[in-house]
Amino acid sequence: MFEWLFNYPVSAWQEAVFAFDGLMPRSLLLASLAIVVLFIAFSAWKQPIAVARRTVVVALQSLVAAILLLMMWQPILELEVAEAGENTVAWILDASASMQTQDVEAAGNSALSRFDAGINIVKSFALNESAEFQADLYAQAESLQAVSSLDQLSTIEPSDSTDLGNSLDEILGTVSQNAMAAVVLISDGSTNAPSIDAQWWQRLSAAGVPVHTIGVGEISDPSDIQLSDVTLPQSVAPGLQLTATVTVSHSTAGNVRLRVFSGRDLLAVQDIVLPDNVQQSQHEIGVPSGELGVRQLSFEITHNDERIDPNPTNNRQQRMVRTTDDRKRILYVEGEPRWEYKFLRRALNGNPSVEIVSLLRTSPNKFYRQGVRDADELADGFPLERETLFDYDAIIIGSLEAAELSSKQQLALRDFVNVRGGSLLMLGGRHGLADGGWGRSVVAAALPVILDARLSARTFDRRRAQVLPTASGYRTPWLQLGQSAQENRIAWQGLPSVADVQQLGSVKPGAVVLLEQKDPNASAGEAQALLVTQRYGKGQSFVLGTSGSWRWQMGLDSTDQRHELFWTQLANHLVAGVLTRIRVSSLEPVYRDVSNAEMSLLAYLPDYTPLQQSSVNASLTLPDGSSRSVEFTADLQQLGRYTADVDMPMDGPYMISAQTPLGGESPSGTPSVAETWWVSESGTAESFNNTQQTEFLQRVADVTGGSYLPSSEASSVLDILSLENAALKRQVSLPLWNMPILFLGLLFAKLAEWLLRLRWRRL
Amino acid sequence: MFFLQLSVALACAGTAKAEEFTFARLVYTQSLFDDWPRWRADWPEAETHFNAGLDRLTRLEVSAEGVLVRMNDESIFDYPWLYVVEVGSMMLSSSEVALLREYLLRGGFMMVDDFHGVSEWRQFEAVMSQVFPDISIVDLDDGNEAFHVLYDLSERVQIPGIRALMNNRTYEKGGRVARWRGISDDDGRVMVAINFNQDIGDAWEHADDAAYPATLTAHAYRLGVNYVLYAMTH
Repeated sequence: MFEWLFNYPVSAWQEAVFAFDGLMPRSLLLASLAIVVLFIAFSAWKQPIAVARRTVVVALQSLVAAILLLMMWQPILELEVAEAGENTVAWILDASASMQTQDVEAAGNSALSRFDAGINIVKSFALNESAEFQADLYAQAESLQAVSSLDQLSTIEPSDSTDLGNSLDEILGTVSQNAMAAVVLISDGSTNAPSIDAQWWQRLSAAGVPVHTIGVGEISDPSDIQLSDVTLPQSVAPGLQLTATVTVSHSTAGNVRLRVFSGRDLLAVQDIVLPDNVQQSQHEIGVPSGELGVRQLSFEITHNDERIDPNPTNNRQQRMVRTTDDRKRILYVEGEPRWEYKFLRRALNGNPSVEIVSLLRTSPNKFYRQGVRDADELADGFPLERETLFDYDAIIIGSLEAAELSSKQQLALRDFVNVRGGSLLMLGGRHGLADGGWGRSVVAAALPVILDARLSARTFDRRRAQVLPTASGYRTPWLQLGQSAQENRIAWQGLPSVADVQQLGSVKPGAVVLLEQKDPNASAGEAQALLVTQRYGKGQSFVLGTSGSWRWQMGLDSTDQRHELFWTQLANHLVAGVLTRIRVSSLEPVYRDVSNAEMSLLAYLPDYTPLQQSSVNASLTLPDGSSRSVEFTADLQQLGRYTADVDMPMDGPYMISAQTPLGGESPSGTPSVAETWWVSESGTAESFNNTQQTEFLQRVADVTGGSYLPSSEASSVLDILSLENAALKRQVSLPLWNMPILFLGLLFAKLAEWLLRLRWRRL
Repeated sequence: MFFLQLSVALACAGTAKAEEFTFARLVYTQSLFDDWPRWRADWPEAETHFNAGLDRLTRLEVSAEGVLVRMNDESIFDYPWLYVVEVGSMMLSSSEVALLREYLLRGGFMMVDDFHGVSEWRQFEAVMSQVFPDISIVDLDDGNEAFHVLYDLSERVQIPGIRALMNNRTYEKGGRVARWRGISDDDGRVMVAINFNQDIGDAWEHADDAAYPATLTAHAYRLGVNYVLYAMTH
């Protein structure tokens, strides 16, 4: 009706700009209208009729005059439209295996496959004779294929994987040759090749071509559950439980059973309740670390009720994990015998991940070493060479005066954090922190607090103090002493007080206070910082202003593990994430239906400057046990980084290892070995995320300036293509003088006047 | 005078000393037929002298005075070092047994000294079997770290009490052979160092007595220093 009255559809009116095509200015139109209306009013004044009737006649005659004047001024709609025949729209139909899922509603009882629904959309809209665009057809199968006809498109074989990233890269690379107006992607959005990263999104946005996405397939399947992800450490110490976090995708609440296998051995079972109103939920399961070596773990979920999963392939994830007795090494240097030394070592005694190597000055002329690897380690006291110091992963400095270290050793200690990327923890003590002269040393720059630098600094005080976390501390994972937030709070509040504290000075900008201390007998008063941390260079520094945590051990029941837990978690955090001489990693833990994997390798020299070579060799072990050399080539964008594409000719677990000495380096010390494992599998990629991934399709449309349409609204695509974002457009002027509404207006006005005059007998 | 000293010392026991190391002596109950308080043997000179030596020979911050603690007082947990003498007549109530066990399991260290002969050994052994029914007392071998942490004490001598020395003996009550024994936890840490048929405390007490041989005093000091440093490192 609107289009009949106003000549053009609503969308045209919304997109277009109203204008006049004539040469006469708008002001003249208004002036003319005013003169005509005055003339009509003056003429009507002479007529012997009542004032009200005269007013109605003037209004109707003025309306006629206004419409006629408007038509004389030639109103138009100015619109940019695609030039017919001069624009190309690339229609890409996803032809992966997931598109064979029959879940698109169709007439009758049967459901169409997503692929067939896509064929119908292409047929109805891409090849529509009224379409203003030239349609180039493509199928996304194993790779992007240009097809010449609908028949050819219909016979494309489904592929085992979908790489929409590469397809769009490829098609957008031809923009300049094809005068491409837009891309229409018909897909379920389930892409599983690893080509989509932040750079890909940037490229997509920069191409400047709108990608309109038409989503096919159900958005969720109530009976399908999917084990979307499993995260767990790549290595674990023997005798421990490793904690795996599993992500389950589900559209409804339910009960599932999670099992973990190593080969045929069942390692762990857990029943999981899936919550309602969420699409994904995360759950933790403990898995015994088992014996030394590498294991391939299989995580599987099944419905715990009568429901039958229509897609059981996506209920399983494989991960590689290595049980190793390799331990990170922490050097603990103490300037005098202290109870804290004993109890700290004792708390970490059973820690399978961390090894404490300690150097204790027992008498003026003697050091006592514990935890050393051989008779030579630390035989000369604190390491004299940077490289020797850099062999450790973290350093704890106790009640030791800065003057006990040479300038070179102090510089090495600072660079241990800054360059080597290690962690430094400094403890309170009568010779520690400010009282030990550390505020005047080069190490002060690395610390998270500004220590008192005066020679007369006396900041260590033997008094009782209650230790409690700050708000940040309560949220810090490695300061959790209880299972829940409530238990954690109670656990901290129940700790005995310490009996010595040290004033730390002001906290540096960017540092975080995690623990505070306060006089337990004072009802009020400001709590003072006790444990502070900050990032410095590549590493992290910590200051703990007490040597009294041992009182937690002696003041609590012998079965209480809070003291051990505090130090274990702190020590594990100290060594977590520190740089290693060499590190190799794969982009994904599992590669599905792809033939190669991208690997990266980071390598440093013994002084932790990036290794600068053209390439680094590593050893690849294939699932059949054979091995071969892999060359990593230098990444020109980042010093010390090397990348390699590894062919995966068969399914199963792969392992890459690299070790020092690196090329050209003379062998010295304990070699640093880096390994990573991953799994390659076939025929499973299309089973994951095989419902319609609207989020992905919507994002593709959003970043390119296109539109996302569900398949039920696919008919709008032609209007959108005509009106939006065409590559080559022309300006068209749509005349409005001949709109039926105007003629109807004239007719109405004159007819109304005639009828009124007839009624008034004043013809 | 003694009771005045005792009451002052016990009153101080509940307050943590302002130094890192405080010598704590255990005050225990004993047989009703024995009216002399045996826990106070050599007190307070033994620890006063030893503390001074410990302060001079090590980097340890030492409290000049010791404290007296009872095994029925939670303040014992402020002192991870505990010295007990003449344990041949020591008796502990069930609550004291439980507290001593807890003290040692939490990480406390107890040095036992000045008891001799089979009869006193049996009494001590009976008490300790109440504390740790499933842990046996063993001889500490020469390689034990307690004998090497600061001084190498692979070769040790019997440290006699001054009265035995006056009688030209190095032993008393038939305890001719000195033993260095211990009770260790599951990780091999010595929790209780037992000096049987010896009187280390006497050597400390009479360090300023010309009648007591300096070499024996030196041995006693070194052994005590090693025990303290062992307690503070293991």
